[in-house]
Amino acid sequence: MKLLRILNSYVWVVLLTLSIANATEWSYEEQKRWGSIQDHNQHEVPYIYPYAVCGIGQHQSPVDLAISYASKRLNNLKLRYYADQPDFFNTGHAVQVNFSNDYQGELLVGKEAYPLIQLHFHEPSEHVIGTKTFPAELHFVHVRDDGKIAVLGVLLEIGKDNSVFQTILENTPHQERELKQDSGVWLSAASLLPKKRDEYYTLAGSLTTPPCSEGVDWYVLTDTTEISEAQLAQLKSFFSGNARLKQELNNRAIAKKK
Amino acid sequence: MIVRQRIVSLVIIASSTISSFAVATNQSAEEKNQTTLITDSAQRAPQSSKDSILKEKKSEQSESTKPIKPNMVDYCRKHTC
Repeated sequence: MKLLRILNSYVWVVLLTLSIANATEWSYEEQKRWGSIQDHNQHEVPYIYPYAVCGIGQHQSPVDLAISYASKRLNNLKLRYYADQPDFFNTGHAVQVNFSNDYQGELLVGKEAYPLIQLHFHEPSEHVIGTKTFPAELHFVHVRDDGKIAVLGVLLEIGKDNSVFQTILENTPHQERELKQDSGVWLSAASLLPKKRDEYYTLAGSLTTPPCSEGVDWYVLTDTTEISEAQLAQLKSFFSGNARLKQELNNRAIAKKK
Repeated sequence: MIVRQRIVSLVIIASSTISSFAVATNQSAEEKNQTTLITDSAQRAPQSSKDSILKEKKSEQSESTKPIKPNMVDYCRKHTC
């Protein structure tokens, strides 16, 4: 009888462990081993390590932007961000704003247009400049129909209150994986941009979250946007430390548009 | 006389035991042989079907390992990408 009880409890422990291990979850705490996280839902190579690129990729983001070369031959960026009634999303990893399906906002790199899909925040900044890490970083994610991604990074500094940022903080659900749809709230993404928008760093990089897919074009503005100390604290109440550590450049060149 | 009869009967019993043992050993050897043959043929017979299964699996795998172009727009809405 006693043996049966022990066996029963053992089976439950095994089942519980298996059910927890079933999802391919990741966290910032274990970011150094993202590449070796196994997908327990699949057993066939090469899908068994779904985030392998995070570990073996040679063009990963973020990076240190300190060593760059100035260039006047780079494309001008045109940021056509219009007001929208977006969805507010707590992804479980960041505060995110998803623009509506018929949103017309886009980033123009020369003549190439990249539709704006979402924006989200990291605390502290992911890109660094030398020894300087910024309090937070905003990513405008643009995706073309063919899957090509361009991300515009804006470094956030402590200063004045930003009313658009406040709207985002007040409408984002605190519950992880919760989406607030049909909020009816108008948001002008352009108000999150700094004044100076014609100078930027650019390089080929990756998504900064698993699966860390490469082939992402990065544009990080040299000018910063201000948010208040109180707003930073509010952002931290959602997620703190949701930033990937800087990655090796591996012979990549960072160009700086002057 | 009695002793001689006993010796003879013992010899007969011993020889019959030995011969029956020999027959049994031979039979088991033959059975083993047959079993080996059956196993061989059983292994050989489905080899072609195994091959076809393997081929099917391989083709399935090559289908599944083909790079699938994900819907990045949808992905980036659902995840912090």
